[in-house]
Amino acid sequence: MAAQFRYIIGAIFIAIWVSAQAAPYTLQLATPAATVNGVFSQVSINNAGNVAFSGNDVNDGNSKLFFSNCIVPNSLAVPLACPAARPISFFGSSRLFFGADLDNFNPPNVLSVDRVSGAPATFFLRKWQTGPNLSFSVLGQSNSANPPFSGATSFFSQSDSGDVFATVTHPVTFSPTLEHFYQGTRSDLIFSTGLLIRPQIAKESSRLAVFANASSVLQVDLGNDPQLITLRSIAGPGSGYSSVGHVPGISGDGTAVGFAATNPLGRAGVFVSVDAVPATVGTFNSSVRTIIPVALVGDPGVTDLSASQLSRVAVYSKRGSQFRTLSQRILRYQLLTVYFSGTVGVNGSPPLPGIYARDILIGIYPNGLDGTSQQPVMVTEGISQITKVTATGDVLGQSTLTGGFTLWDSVADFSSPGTGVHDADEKSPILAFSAVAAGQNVVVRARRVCAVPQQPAFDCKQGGPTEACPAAASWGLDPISEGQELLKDGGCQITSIGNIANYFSSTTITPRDTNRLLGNEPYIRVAGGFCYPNHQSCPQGPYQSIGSTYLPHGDAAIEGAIPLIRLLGGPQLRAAFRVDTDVLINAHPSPSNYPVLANTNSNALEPATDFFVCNQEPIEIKVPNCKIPLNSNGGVSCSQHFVVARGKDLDDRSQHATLLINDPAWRTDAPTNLFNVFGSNLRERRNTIEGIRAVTKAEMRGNRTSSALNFYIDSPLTTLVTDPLNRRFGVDGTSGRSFLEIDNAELTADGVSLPDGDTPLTDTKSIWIGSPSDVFGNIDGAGQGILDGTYTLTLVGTAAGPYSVSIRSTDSDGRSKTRYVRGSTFVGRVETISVARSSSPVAPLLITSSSVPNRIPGDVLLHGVVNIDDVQTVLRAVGRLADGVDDPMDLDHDGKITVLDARIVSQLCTNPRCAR
Amino acid sequence: MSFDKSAVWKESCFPVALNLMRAAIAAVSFMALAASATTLLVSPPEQQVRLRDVIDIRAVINGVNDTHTFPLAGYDLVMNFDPHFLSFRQISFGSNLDPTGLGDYQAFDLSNGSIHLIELSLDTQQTLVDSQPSNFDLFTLSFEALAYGTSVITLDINALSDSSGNLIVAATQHGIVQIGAVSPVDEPSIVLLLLPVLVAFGARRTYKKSSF
Repeated sequence: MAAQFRYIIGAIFIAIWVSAQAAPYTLQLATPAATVNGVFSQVSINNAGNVAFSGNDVNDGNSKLFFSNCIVPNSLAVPLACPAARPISFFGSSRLFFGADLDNFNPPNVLSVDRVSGAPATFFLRKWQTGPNLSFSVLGQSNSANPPFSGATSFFSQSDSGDVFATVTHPVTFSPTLEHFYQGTRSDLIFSTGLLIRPQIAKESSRLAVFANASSVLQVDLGNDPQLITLRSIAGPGSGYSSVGHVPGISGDGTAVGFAATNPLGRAGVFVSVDAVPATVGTFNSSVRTIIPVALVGDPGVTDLSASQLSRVAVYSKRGSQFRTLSQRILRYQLLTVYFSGTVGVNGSPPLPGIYARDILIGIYPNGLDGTSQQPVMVTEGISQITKVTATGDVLGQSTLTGGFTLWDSVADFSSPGTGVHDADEKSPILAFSAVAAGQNVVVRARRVCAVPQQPAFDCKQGGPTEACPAAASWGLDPISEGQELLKDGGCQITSIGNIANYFSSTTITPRDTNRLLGNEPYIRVAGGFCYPNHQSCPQGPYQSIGSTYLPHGDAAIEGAIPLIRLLGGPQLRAAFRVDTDVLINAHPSPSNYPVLANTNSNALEPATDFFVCNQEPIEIKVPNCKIPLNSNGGVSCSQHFVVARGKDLDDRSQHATLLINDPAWRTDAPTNLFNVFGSNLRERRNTIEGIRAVTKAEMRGNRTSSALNFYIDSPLTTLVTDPLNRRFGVDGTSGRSFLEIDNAELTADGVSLPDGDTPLTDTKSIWIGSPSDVFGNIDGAGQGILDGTYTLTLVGTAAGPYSVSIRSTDSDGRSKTRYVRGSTFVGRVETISVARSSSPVAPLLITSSSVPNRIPGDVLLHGVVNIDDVQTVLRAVGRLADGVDDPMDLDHDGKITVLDARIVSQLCTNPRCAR
Repeated sequence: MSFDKSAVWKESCFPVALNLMRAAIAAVSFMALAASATTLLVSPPEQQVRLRDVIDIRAVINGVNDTHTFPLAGYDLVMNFDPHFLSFRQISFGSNLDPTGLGDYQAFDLSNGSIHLIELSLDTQQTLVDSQPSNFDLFTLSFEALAYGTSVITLDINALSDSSGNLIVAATQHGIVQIGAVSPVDEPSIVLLLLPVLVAFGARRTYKKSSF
């Protein structure tokens, strides 16, 4: 189920976030007009929103390094507070600065290249402080002994860990033969022969993207292995991609590289290459990469991307939490926003040069589809429409974009808000670029205000400037297509899942009641409809269609209601379930909503949510038309009913989820390992979500049926019930024959009904014999259900061991009495239990067995003795009213089960101190 | 000069209210005690503790097995406290329902502001008659003082069972835990208790006059 939810949630937030592009970016000048000219295109921005660049100070005409710090507020509704850039260098007219690159220290350091006039000119790589005291350190100087280079270009980059890459000219061959300059912990990179130029180092990882050998884009992993540096060719000779752009960009987490190229079909475009690194960076765990086209010349509105060839393609990455899919695979979504320069027309407008962005959502199985392979597989992708960041005319009138820009990387992971700008609700990339506006050089910050989805479905719905984000947009690819694939097929006869927490204990709701409520209820299909958590558009009552694709948000948040999810499937019961409502919880902060699952795991390393029923609240699953194999000749219809699952997955990576499967009708409540027990039964099975609805408490109560008899048998036994008319239901253990003579009776095992051929792994059975009619007077079957009189339960041992039977009789007023029988059996042993009951109110329920024809006082468990088991059974019942004068626990006949009764039982024990 | 009405309340009315609470608890307890020979007490009846102190509160029964005929063999009790001021830490059951040390049935269930406790002896009537004193601790609960204020500690009796399974009727006496920075002080007389009230009213009248 969670897989369904995930896909659905993914689809919803994609739609909303993509649609939220009416005014997607706010622009802000980092430089006062007419203060700087000659800005180099290598503009830098860091995670704090600080901007650095080089240009000429109009006051004195000198080339300088400029720095602008910034305060990024926690709300997108609040503008950035950024003072104007100020010079941080102090050289005279003999210098020319070639751009800047910031790190994320506080205060940050600025990497620069400057040229000192002379013959020959001298080039310096320096790192400048931005604190109150201006100073620098020299990392490299041309024409010096070490390192040997003769000149440097405007392409250089530094990481937060101290690695520095720069594109330099060779000291002997000089330009145009370029070399790389490296300074850092990897001595093997210094003076290496590889031609790695125009680098961008991922600030938060040990990876960088470079243009190599004049024809390729490489992703370099400096890694932790001192003996190995990994170079991976992304595009270039042999890859099918040609005319590769010179300035690739890498995401802050190092997983995605954007580049310009011509694809194997000969179309020029901007692409992003995704490396499905699950949780850690540092090594490539696969040689498989997926390249996604971001924009292709010739696509609607895209007329020219040539600017990208020499402009850095900036990539913003956000990775979501891992979670387990329907098929128990680990899946993770990753959002990429790719920025590129080009000439694009958005929404039918005439093409204009500018900086544009496109969102890409991908889903990755980091551990592979088979759960063991290290080959990551991309399973789905969604690509938004191209968004205009800025175009000519956006920045101070007529502008000419110079093309170079860098991206504020922000945080790479939803669940680790420890770096970058802290913003519990919204995170948004900010990029910086230079432009010529009205003849003046400017540096601009562009801040996305229609938030990238952290809790995405609601970013556009809950306050702030994103409220106006419109709905609906088209996508190039269906992001849930794979989800559909996962969900369809086979299916199951699980048709409903409901959360009955907070309203009903699992023993106060019967499967029959729930089934009756849901069984023939029509539902409204509203294809593609959404239901937002404002309650206004979330109908209660009838099913709200999800168009077989979307589960509406917010239904689980309807106050005073219980979310039920209805699944529809094919002929076989083969269904797993996942319900993941962390988004719903987040969306609706009211504590009175009823989450099915919660996501409270804040540990980024521990995949959150998946299979988390961390609030221990039950999920109810409706399983209709199932069959249980009573013998090798076939099964018996167990009709429709519900089971309830509670529990959580303690370790996502273990591929195990331990749940309590609780059949509310049969009160089986045994720890069940979902992975093992359901195994092939529930895993790998697929469902179609048909609808969702909310059920109110009153609705559920209104459908209680009356007059029933339940047997819960936990034992190595076969069970056969004979009613007062000598009709039989169950299996005769002596002959092996099965009987279905009692109308309106059901039998299940293990708390979940298994299809033909699937053998329950534990031997817990439940038999339910219902009323011939419900509280509304509807007649079931042939109209013969529970009767007044004496029933006989015949038990035949199938193995040696103890057994327990509980018998609950419900009268026409809905009041129940429960009796217990305990004993031990062995192969072939026959035990009969006699049950005298009536549907008349307050009628006694009398139980005897062939072993214990007369109950002795204190023998609550009808096992022929009185011992600590009887005492404890009474103590567990302390506080409840006696169910009648025949209640064997009410030994002092005061109408209540109290500690006095327990003390009396203790004094009736067969052995001293109630020993067994 | 400004006048802080809340300060008057804190300094004058609050102690009065607290003492009235004490008096009410004492009166109710006295009347109950007078009507019953067996009593169930919160001990100590009043504690003044500092924030973050860990305190013990005992439930003490008096007057059972006085005639060596009706020992206590089981109880089903609820102890109530104010969870805003006290946080439950641990429980220690007494030993007089298990004089042989061979084990009895003990259970407790913590909910918000109350602890449900059940203990049942498995010993014979004679063993209990011979060994059980007339006054003893049923259990000791440890709490941490969470916030400044006062928590009343009450005991609700669901059932007390003698060794034959008969109901023992008992009165209860509740307790108070005050959490603050002050040291224990001597109890003032009733006249002194009323004095702050008079001061408060006087100050209030003065304040009103100066306000209008």
